[in-house]
Formats: sequence, structure tokens, C-alpha cells
Amino acid sequence: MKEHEIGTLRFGLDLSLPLYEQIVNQMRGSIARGEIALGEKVPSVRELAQGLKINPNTVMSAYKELERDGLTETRRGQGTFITHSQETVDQFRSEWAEKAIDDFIEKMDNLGYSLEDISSIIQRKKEGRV
Amino acid sequence: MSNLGVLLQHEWKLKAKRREKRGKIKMPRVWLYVYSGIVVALVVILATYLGWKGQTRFVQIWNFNWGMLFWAIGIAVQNIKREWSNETVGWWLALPYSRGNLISAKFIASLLRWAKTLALVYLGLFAFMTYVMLLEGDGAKIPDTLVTGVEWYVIVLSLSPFVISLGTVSALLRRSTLQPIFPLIWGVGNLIINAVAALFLLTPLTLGTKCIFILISWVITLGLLRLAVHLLERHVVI
Amino acid sequence: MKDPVVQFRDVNLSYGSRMVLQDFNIEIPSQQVVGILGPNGSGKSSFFRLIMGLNQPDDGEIAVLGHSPGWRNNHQIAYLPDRARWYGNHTVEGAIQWGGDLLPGFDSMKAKELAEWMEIDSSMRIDEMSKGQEARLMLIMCLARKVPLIILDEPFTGIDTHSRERIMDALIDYVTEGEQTILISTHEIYEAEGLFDSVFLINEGQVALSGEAELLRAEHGSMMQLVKKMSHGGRGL
Repeated sequence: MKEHEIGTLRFGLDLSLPLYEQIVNQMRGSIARGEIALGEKVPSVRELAQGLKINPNTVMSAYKELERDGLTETRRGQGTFITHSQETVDQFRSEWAEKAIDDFIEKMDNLGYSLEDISSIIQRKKEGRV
Repeated sequence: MSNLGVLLQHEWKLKAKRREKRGKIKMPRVWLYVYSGIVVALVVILATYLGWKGQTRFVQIWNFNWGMLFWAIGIAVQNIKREWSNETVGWWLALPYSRGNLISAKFIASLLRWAKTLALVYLGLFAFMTYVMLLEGDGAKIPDTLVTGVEWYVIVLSLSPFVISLGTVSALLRRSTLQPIFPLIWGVGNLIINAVAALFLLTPLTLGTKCIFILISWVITLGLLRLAVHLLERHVVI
Repeated sequence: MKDPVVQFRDVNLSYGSRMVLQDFNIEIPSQQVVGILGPNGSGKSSFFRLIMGLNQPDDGEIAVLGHSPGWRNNHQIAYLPDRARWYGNHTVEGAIQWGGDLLPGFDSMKAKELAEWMEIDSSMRIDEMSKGQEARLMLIMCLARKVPLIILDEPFTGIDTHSRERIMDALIDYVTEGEQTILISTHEIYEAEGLFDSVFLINEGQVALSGEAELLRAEHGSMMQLVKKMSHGGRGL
């Protein structure tokens, strides 16, 4: 795992996993957590590729994916910016949370845990933490 | 400028200067001067001695041309070998020009460089001989001796294309899949050079015979250069 | 799908009794950064030399940019030879002049820009350079050319980290702008593998594994680890 910092973005890339997914997911995370502000300019494809030492085509397709998410917008001649809409980010964030929960529940279901089992485990975790 | 012209210019500029290899230390310049000075002093002493003794007859001296022919072969071999030893052979052979152009540029550059080296050697020799003859007070001999010298220069230079093409082919053969025939070419080539040197230096040939020999050597030169091109096209290993 | 840039069919190559490439088949897609990976002595450099027509195959068919290899084809290829050095008597300026005179498609202005950007002093003599500086110069000699195919044989080997990073940046810059196909061979540098669109792993004179870099990563993890496995006696995969 190699740590990189490009502007306000932080990445930890693992060259033994697909890079495209790592970039998309880590940028989504940064946006959802608010580490990169609304309306902020994201690094150019070249900058990010050079910063991460990866193929610009990979960065380009990751940026396209973020644009499909609605998280970024490209302004002709100016570059790519994070969306201004807090609403879009919030909506995206809750969708992802939903998806993460669904995935989790499905996995637990596979192991034979019911929703009740899960919530009691989570309850215990909460108590343990406090 | 034509491709050949540019290639030739490049070859001409290539200096024989070796890169410093690991573990080799360059001789400090001062010492080079010191040793050159000693050599020059010895030569001057010898010349002065000869001039003082008198009766020096410059006849045998032209036999040094025998060695000159082998010096020429060395220059040609170096010119090829350098691409490998300096690890530039990949650049050289990847050039998008006909192998004939590559070989011609090397050949002509070697020939020009050799003509220059040989001229310098002759100039040095002329200076030496003139000094001796002046000391002997025999100034009248000078023009004749110099004319003989110029004749020898022309003869050696005329035989040089053959020698240089032989050096070029041999150096390439050693780095090709046809390497097994290298000793053969090298042996026969050296034999021929020695035979020609013996003929020219030790026997009184007429001008006509000399010209015939030289012409034959030029024809063989063309054949050797063609062989060099073929080696580059098909057999050289890098 | 465009025509492949390089196509080998059943190519055999031997030096004397040593087989170097054996029934070698490959199709290199165009306009990509292609990694040619494999342990030392696996045949990567020989493969490149065949593309350049510098060595001749025993048999088989080779097409490079639609033609058979040879000097007539090489005006459209920039080639960084394996373990190469540059002409020691040149200065950087001299080398750029040389490129402008002798290399088709060589853009001297671009070369000067690259030299400045790669922190190479243009009046410096090559035989006074460090290995890393010389490597950077040689890369400039390739990247300053407008040609459809660029072949870099081990551009990272034996070079200091700073030079390596400069070279990587220059390559990324180049890929961002261009539509060329770039073939890069390497046997060791883990960091370089993020550059590749697709990868061919070569072992013992054959293509052992190939595909899009991202797919290979998903399936096998890091490609350099695969190479390492191969070079430590793991025959086949």
C-alpha cells in the first residue's frame, strides 16, 4: 500500500488490486466525508496520474464514473469540480450507506444470522465500546 | 545534407576517447605532458646525433609503412568495436537508414581519420628528416627525400581502403552468427597485407604494377564492404 | 478493434544452440501503454530486437505497424535499447542536434522542453553525467519523437529514485497527450506497473499470461509478484 496526497485528496493505492475501483471509491469517500469541499476543483487527470504514478486513462475513467454519480461536473476549459449541491452528496451518501448495509446483511444472511441476531450483536458492540 | 552526409558527420565527430571505466583512473594531464616531453627530447637528441654523425641515408626508414598498414586496420576495427564497447550499438543499428549508408559512413570516416593520422605521422617524419639533413649540411637532398615521402604517403593511402574494409568486416564478423569464419578472414587478410607490404617495400615494382595491385585491392574492397552490409542485414548479433 | 501494432506468429529465435523465443505468438493492441514483463533472460529484449529488425528470427511471421521489420520501417519507431549508453562525446545540445538530423519525427523544441523539465543541463557532456541523468537524456531522445510506436527496454534499471520518478512523470505526461503505443519492458520496478493498460508476461521465451492490467490485477494481484514467482523457479503458472 502506498500513500499519496494530491491537494486535499488522500489516496492509499494497492497495486495488487484494480486501481480504477480504488480511485473511485476513495474519492467518493473523500467527498462523502466532506474532506474535499463542495465546488472545489479536483486535480487534472495529468496531475492525479503523475501524483499516483498511474496511467492517465485509469484516472480518466474514474473521473467519468464520478461524473455519472453526479458527484463532479466538468466545466469546459476550466476542469472538473466537485458538485455544488450538498443535496446530491447527501443523497449519494445515503444510497451508498444503504448499499453497504444491504451487502452486509446479505453476507450475514449467508452465514445464517437473522436481522434480530445482527441487531443484538450490534447492541453488544455499542455497549462494549462505551 | 544527404543522409549519408549527416551520418558521416556524426561518425567523424565521434572521438576515440574512452569513457572512464570503473577501477580505471585517468592519467593526470601533467604526467601526459611530462612523458610527451621526454619522448620529444629523446627524438631531438637522436636527430641531433644522426645529424652530427652525418652520412644518414633515409632508405630503410620507409619500411615503417609496413606497420602503418596494421595501424590502419586497428582504426577500422576500433570504429566498429566502439559501438559495442560504448553500448551505443542499439542506437546505431536502429537508425532508419540503409545498412549500406551505415557502413559507407563508417568506412569513409575511418578512411578520412586514417588519412589524417597518416599525414600527421608523415609531417613528423618530414620534420625529423629535414632537421637531420640540415644539420648534416646536406640541404640539397631535402626536396628529393620529401618527394619520395609524399610518394609513399600516396601509396599507403591507396592501399588503405582495402585494409580498412578488412578491419571493418573482421570487427563485424566477430559480432555475428558467422563468427566461425572470422579466424579464416583475419588470417588470410593479414597474410595478404604482409604480402602486399613485402612486395611494395622490398621489391622494385614499376608504377604500372603498383597501380594494378592498387586497383585490384579496390575491387576487393568493394566486395568486402558488400559483405559488411550483408553482415549488418542478416548476421550481426547485439 | 484496431489492427494490432505488433503481431508475431509462431516465431522461433535461437542464438547458436540456445533457444530464446519458442513458438512465440503475440498481438499488441494499439494506442496503449503495454507492459512487457518477465524475469531476466526471459526473451523480452530479443522480442524488441526482432520488432526493430536488429536480429532475424529462425522462422515465423512478424508484422510491425503492418510491415515486416527492418530499417525501412524504423522511421516510425522510437527505440530505447536495453543497457544502452549515449555517445559520450555529445553534449545534451549535441544529442538533440543529432536527433534532429538523424531521427525522423524528432521535435528539437520538444526535446529542449523535456530536458529542462527533466532537469538536464543542456551544455553538459554525456560522459560527465551520472547514470540517471544519462538515462533521462536517452528517454528524451525517444519521447521527443512523433511516431506511432515507442519501445522502451528496461528504462528504469539501475537508476536512482529521483531519475526514475522524473522518467515516470514524463511518461505519464506523454501518455496524457498522445495516441501512441508504448511498449515498456521491466523486470523489477513495482511502482511502474500502475502505468500499464495491458500486460504481457513473458517467461522462458513464451507469453505466459496476458490481458488488461486491471483484469489481471483483479485475478492475480500485483503483476510484479507474478514475475517474481516466475523468476524464483516457479515454472509455468
